[in-house]
Amino acid sequence: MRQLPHIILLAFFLTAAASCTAVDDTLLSEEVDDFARGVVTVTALIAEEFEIAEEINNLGFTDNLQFQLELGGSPETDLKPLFGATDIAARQNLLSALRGYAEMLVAVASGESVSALYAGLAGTANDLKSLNSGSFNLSHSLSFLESNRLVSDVSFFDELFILPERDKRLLPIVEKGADTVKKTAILLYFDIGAKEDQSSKCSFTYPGNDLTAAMSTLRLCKGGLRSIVSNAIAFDTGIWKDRLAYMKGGGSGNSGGRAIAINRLVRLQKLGQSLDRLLADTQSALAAMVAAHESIGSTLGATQKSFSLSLSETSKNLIFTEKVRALASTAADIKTALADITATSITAQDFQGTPQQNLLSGDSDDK
Amino acid sequence: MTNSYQDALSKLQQAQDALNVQDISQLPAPQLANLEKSKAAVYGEIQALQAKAIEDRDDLYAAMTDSFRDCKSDLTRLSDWVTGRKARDQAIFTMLTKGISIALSLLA
Repeated sequence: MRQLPHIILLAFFLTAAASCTAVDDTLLSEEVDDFARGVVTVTALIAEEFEIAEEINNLGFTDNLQFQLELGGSPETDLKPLFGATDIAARQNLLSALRGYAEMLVAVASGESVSALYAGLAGTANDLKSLNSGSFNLSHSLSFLESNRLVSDVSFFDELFILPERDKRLLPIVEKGADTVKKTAILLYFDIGAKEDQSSKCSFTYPGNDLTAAMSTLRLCKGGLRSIVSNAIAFDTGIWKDRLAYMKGGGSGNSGGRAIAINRLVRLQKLGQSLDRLLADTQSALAAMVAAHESIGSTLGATQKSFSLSLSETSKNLIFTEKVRALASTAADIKTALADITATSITAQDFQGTPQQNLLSGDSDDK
Repeated sequence: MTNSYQDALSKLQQAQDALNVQDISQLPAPQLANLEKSKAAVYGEIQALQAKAIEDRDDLYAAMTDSFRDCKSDLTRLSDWVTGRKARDQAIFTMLTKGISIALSLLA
């Protein structure tokens, strides 16, 4: 019976915790820290995803080159990267701006000086002004005007960076930053794109998204990094399918070569599936990032007005953190899988065996 | 025939799909080498169209990569080789013929 008051107290506490969360400085500081850590991780992952796409393109080029040489062909030997230096720099600039903004929030929340941070961001801020829609993959789902407007909106980071110099209060910065953070997330979301059309309008026009609505309402047409990666995987997979078919037709090969081709074919397809899931999850993490940023604004507002926040509001940051943690783990697995594939050295000897036979009648003109 | 960038991308994807589904087990090595080179050129052109910025997808298309422009002769040679087969053999390479003709229509 002596435990009864404790049980009542615990029940009261749990009920209160389930319905609302008291806002204090520690909670706010942790929320901003978690947000910034999530932004740093997700921006680094996006940059890595573009690098992975290039590696897969290199792999396809190498496999195609080797197969053509084995067939006695005269292949194109100049590797064409998917993305130019300017396009990569534009994305890095945007990702740096987002990361810099998140780090600035941490500095302001913890009362640290933002001068050094601002000095480091001056170059980024300057480069943002020269961004243009041409450096991103947007034309699959946005008109030229919409693309330009979106890129123009993200250059507003420039003005956000100077705010703490004038006013070290977090709330006005977060309020002013909300639109820019969302537009940046949307731009990156479109840039990552879609593997297939998500709107019935895609075959004749743009899907006509309302960019002020929730990101979950966005419908894209096929294009962007997901489509590029999917095509790169399909290209390389096609080479191994052709190798198998060529061996089947008696072209060349032995059981070892066939086993290698089958192994590569399966691993490539699994890699493609994992990578597309990673890119889709990155888009989902970007939407969670926007929600987490809004949650910081709500926490700040609640602090000022001394009212409590709902659990659903405070959980937005946790959702973002959890999504980013899962992303980082998947990305690490994908990099390992890709490294294993690229490290597998395959030589022409692996595929030597039965000599080439004439497969069709009257092939004297095949040379 | 003129094409917009959007039309060209769609046709290139159709050409790629047709070339990919062709059973190549009965294709002799020289023609297969030629086909693999053409596939790489079509792939590179699709990736260039997807990765490079195009201001307006309705603008008039012009081939973006040298590899695709240069593969016209490879595609023509492949087409000639299939045409030179007996009718029974030509039927085996229906998808190859389809892929080649779509790709060539963009290089006309």
